[in-house]
Amino acid sequence: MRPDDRKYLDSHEWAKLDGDLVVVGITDFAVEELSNGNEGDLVYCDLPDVGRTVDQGETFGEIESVKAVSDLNAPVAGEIVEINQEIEEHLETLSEDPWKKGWLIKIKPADPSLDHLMDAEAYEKHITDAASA
Amino acid sequence: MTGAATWDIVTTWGVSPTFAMGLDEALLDAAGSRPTLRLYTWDPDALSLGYFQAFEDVPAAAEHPHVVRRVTGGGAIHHDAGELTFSIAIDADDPAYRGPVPRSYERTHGAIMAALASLGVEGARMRGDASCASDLSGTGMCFHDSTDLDICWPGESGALAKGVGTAQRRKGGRILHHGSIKLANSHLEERIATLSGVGVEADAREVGAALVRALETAFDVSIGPSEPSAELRAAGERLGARYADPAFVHRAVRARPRASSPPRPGSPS
Repeated sequence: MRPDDRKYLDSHEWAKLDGDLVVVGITDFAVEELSNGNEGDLVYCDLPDVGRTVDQGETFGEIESVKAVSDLNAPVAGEIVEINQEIEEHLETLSEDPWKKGWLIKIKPADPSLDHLMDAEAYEKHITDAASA
Repeated sequence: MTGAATWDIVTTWGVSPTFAMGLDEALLDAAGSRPTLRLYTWDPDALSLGYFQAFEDVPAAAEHPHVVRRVTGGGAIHHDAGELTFSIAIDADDPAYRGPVPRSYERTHGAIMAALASLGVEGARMRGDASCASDLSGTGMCFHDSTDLDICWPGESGALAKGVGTAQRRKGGRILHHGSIKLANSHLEERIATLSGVGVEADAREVGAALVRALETAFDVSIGPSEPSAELRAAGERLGARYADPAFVHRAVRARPRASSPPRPGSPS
């Protein structure tokens, strides 16, 4: 089971409330799908500038693995107030610790509710269904 | 045609570099549509940069009059008369592409290798841990940088070399899988494997037909001809403009050595 202290998007980002901010990252499932378990297979991550505002569901960045470029999607609308600059230089962190050290951005949300997102149990079912559909 | 599920096929021969890219984006964005295989060639010939490539990291780009940037990653490709470009636009949860990215490559590459075999190319395989004679540092070219999943075959020299380049874009539950199959050598891509290099003389249409048959068998689908709608063509023209826009082609990309270099077993080189 994935951490139940946060919510999930069907595109495999996670969102966690931290005070009045929403911390955003991608799940271990996303990393595994992109990289086949080889941490060196993630080659590039393009994160937005601090200060940019995003809509819910809007692409805020992109990540490239050896064989695919994928969008990163915002779980909530708001202003991006911090990015994890370490990630762009150390993509292996996404493989090693996607839940904590591997956070990508922090958003000051227009509305802090995460009720529109999946909880850990629903996300677990989502990825199980995706794998067996 | 073989299978129950149906894919569309769109053929656009001799298209402009901007329309080549714009129509692929329109197909990627076409949520809810059937999986689409597109076969195309370019006129004039052009150089396409990978999405995250710095223009300056591709020496040939400075010399070429027609440069576009793809939405897919990887290295630069010379699209000339000796090349068939294909794309597959498909939902990410389609059985053909469901699951980890590398598995989707293995399935698609299996079909491409079957197509190559049907044309008479012998010994095509995914590179795996083998060394690849076409790997060449400093050019920024896709065909000079192989990964373990890339399709190679013994070229003119007899040494294993890369002959097919592929890359994916994943967006909004959709996938665009780009591919380039080399029919003949380009002066910008020396040492690579080509069909003519192993005595197989086939044009883009013949290779495309072989690819259709192989994909039908591999994915148990029927692939039927389809004309891009007027709306899709218009979207391709409209979206295509940005691909040759200097702001996009020369966009700032942070230089970063590929994690895969130098070569290591089981990973890209």
